[in-house]
Amino acid sequence: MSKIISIHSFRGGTGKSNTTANVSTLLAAEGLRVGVIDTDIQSPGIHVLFGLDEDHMTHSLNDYLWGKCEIEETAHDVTANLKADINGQIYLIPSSIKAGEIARVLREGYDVGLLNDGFHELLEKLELDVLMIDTHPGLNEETLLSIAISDALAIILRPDQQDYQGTGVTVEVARKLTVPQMVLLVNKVPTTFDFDEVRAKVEKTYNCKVAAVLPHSDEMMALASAGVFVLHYPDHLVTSELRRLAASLMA
Amino acid sequence: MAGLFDRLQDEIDSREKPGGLSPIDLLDLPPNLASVIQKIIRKNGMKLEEIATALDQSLEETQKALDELVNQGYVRRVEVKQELWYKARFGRKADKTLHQSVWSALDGLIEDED
Repeated sequence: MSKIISIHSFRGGTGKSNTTANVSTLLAAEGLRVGVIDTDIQSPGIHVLFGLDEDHMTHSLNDYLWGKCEIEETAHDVTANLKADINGQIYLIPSSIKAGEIARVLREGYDVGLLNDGFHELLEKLELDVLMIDTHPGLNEETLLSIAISDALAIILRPDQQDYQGTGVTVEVARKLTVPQMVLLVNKVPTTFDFDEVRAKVEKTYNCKVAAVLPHSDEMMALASAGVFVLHYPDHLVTSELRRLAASLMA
Repeated sequence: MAGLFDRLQDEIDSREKPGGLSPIDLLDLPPNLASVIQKIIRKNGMKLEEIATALDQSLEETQKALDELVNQGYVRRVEVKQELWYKARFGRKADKTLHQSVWSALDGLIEDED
């Protein structure tokens, strides 16, 4: 049975897109058919991680929301771009990176129901095992819809007071929307911290399972979104924690 | 289950009844209505019996909640292969909260790319 997984954070810059791309790749490496949809219409970016440039973006989520194409026509098979031994398949549904198209969707809006239909049609038409939703930070209509329809939700936070407060709000909202499975991911943790202590403190604060604690990584920073981390550093601690997260979300 | 007919029906519905459900409304609905509509959204459409079973409640109780959601314009009835389905009726989202001067600049961008 197929599954919808949302990756969210209350604040920006927490590593949502990176986490989404890495978890998707790990799942595809296990032979699953994975869809990745960029619902961050205002500030899209995950296409960079999958090596999809503007010239090869035939259709985007924006085109579907304006009724210019069917949702499956927006799906780009990016598996080969990863240049790795991947048994499954990764389809990316990017949001447009053209300034005018971003402006238009903000200006004219779109049919939220169509977005919901699109999520479900992708599962069916691409025969996906998993649909991963990369969300816009904070709480807006797309985010709430993504959370509401998700079978599993990962909320990312950094060990930062502002993140702690905002995450509390998001956890509360997700509980109100009765998401069946919710986990937390603590990202960019300074290596001087005691990770077990961080995990215990966060779990106690939110009464929610921490699926993974990722250390701050110079290698991740140096990669600078030029690829998918788990493929470049398969034996890194970040990769093993991301594996734990993927397993937790699929449990 | 969404097809061309569904989308046309959505368009007709939205013209006839402005408003519709915003995902934000999900946070404000009373628990008995929220639980029903959350199920419907997650499956993108369900039948009465399925909803009642999923929520472990009676058909009467479920029907009452559905009728209320239909009256509020948050849910619509759809006939699929002679069976009655219930589907969320979302409104249209447009963020027009930016200052007019910002929109003027953005309109320029839209025209440039046309």
